[in-house]
Amino acid sequence: MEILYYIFTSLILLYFFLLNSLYILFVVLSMIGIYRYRNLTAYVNYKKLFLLPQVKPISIIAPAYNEANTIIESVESLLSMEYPQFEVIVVNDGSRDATLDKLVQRFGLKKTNRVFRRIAKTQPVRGIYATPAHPKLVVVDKENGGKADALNAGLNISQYPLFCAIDSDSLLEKDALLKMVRPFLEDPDRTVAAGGVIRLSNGCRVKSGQVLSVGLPRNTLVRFQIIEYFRAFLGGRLGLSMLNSMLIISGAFGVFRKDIALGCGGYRTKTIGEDMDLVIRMKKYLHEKKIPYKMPFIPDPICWTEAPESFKILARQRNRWHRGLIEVISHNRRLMFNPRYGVTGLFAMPFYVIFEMLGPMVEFTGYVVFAVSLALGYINTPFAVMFFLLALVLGVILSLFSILLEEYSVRRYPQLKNVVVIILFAVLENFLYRQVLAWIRFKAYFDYLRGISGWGEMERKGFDGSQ
Amino acid sequence: MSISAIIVGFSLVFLLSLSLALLLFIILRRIYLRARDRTMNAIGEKLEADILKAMSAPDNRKAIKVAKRYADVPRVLTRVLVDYVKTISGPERERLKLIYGRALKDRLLQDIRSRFTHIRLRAIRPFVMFADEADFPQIMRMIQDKPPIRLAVIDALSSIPHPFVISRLFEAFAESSATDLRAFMNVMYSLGKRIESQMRPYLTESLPGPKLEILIELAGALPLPGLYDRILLFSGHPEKEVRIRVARALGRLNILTQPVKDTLIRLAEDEAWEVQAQALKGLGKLRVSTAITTLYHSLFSPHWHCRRNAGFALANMGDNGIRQLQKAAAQTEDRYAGDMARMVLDEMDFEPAAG
Repeated sequence: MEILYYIFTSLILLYFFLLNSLYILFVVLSMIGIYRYRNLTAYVNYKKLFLLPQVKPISIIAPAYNEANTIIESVESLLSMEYPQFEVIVVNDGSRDATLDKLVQRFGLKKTNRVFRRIAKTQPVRGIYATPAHPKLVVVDKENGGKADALNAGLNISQYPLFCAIDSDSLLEKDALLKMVRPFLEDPDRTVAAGGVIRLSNGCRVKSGQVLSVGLPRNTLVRFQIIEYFRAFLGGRLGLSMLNSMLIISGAFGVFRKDIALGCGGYRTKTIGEDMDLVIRMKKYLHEKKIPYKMPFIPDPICWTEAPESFKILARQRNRWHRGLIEVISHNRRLMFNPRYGVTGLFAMPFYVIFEMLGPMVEFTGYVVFAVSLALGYINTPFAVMFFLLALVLGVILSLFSILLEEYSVRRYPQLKNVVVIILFAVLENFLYRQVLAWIRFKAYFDYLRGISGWGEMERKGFDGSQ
Repeated sequence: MSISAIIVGFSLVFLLSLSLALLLFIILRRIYLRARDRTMNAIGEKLEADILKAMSAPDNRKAIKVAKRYADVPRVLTRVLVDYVKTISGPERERLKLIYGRALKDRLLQDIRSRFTHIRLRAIRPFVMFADEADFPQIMRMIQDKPPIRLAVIDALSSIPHPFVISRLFEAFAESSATDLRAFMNVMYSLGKRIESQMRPYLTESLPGPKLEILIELAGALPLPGLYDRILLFSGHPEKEVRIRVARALGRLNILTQPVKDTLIRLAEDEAWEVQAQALKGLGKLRVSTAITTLYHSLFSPHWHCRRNAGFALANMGDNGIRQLQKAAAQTEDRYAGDMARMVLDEMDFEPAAG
């Protein structure tokens, strides 16, 4: 029994060591990535370069389901983007609220007989709306089929070689597309997709679909989420993309080459992790076809989205994310440790399985074993207390590094006091908030096994509410 | 205390110190950057005033003084010089060049040979903007460098298009390998319409297909209407990609001569659907009324792009085109042609029923 206990605790310690070593590696790589990116972009006027004939037009696809509160601001934000040639396709995925009516009314849309190629199968399209007054805008009204189905409908309608998938409750900064498409301009043959940074709009002043000033929200939960987003995007994804191992380009903001996305079948509809699933299948397709590729992460095109302000909604969102992760990884398990898929099979997939998918389980088990061992006297108290503190301080250090990365990259919070508050919350986050989230994600395994597959409702205050 | 507890204890102390150091670093860095920006802005303002004085002075002495005084703040000097050189020409630009030559050139020559990309990048803008003909080989090397370097060179060249660059660029293009062609295209495009006369002698049958594609594409994109007669020569080129470019360029050039119209009608019946699609689009743009029958038949093409381009081309033709679309919308033999015609009529706010 004692040997078993010893092996078990050693494994948990090894896991803890490996996980933190990898996170520190990603942070270091992110630092290098941001340093390089800053230098590469500081001396070139990209706006002028976007007049080059080589710049490809983009279709922005925004699926919308019950987004009546935010849809107008979002579409206005999308229509005012700085980009030479683009179209905005809003796909109303059978909303039960006034999403479609609001769009029709605000933009004066009319039902058209638009013809499109049905490359990806979708739920029936009820109508396509457009108006000569806003030639860049197309609204597709279809039967409800989920986000992936709506994205596929958008892909069918789209007419340009690149597409940008975006959540319709998000706001893009005016020059976000210009920045995002830079790798497609630099290396058009190999770049197949690019991801950008998602930031939280809560606490910011928003008008006509644009973030006018960045501020911190009063809500404690959102402040914790701000640090999480820093860590995930600047610390994690940028570092992973430097190793060509990024498996998630957020569904809220990503640019893809349409031929490659359609080549691997478009979005898979029977998943709630459609963004990650598409990236993995694109990588699989490219490896199988032996096509060299790049999927960079760009640290400064920013997409603003509204974070949940109540614990109930946050728990629902995180549970869904984790179920999505488990489902996508299970579906694409063929890639695991498969040398045919290069770094994706040998590093990225194992990393996501061992540290992202199983992370909450190990973390939660670790807490339980730790408490039980302490109660039964298997470990001495000073060691236990110090080790617990060590884990917390490591968490704080990773958060501080991600704040430093934000300072290096875009420094979007103008006031020093904002940075001080974020640092304070980076410390506080490690007490209770992190543990509760680990429990929510742990619970997601059981929900996944029970076959729960819904998205759950997300309440939106609207961007005016975030002022 | 056990050894493991001591190790953990020391680790904890180390990590605590590290986090404290990080915290202080973040805050102090902010304060430092704010102070540095203020100082640099103040130097920049003073430098601008001195440069303006130097440019209006009767001789070069003041310019030499400015170069000496600001040589140790190269970043501010570079920023100001680059801003000024874009808007100033004539003898005043020579003064700026003098300051650049005295204060920055040697340093920049070293920097553009650096093995670090960011150092090379930093040097490109001032180097290219103040370049002489003797610097052309170095500019060519940079055009064949990594993608960000190429883009920086293109960016700089489009700001100050030196005449020597235009004249020598085509020679280099003709000799270059196939891998650099895209970079050349971007540079040429950034130079704008002034490349027309230089391009003409290169539009010959002897140029390989990929290079011809680039020149024809550029002629259409800029556009360079004076080259239409040359472009017509390649309408029967054996390579499909060249014919696609010819069809596209002719549509964009807006030249309504009979040979252009005839060529586009012929290309609309090409064996490759990609060529047909581009030619149909061109016929619509140029409103070639004699092409109405061709456009109507193309509405029944098995290729979506051809049907779509033919539909919108007919819509551009006025009443006659609309009647053809209504005829196609009314027929029931080909559903796809009917749907396309109805869509175009709908977008043009016309009734699908033949009236």
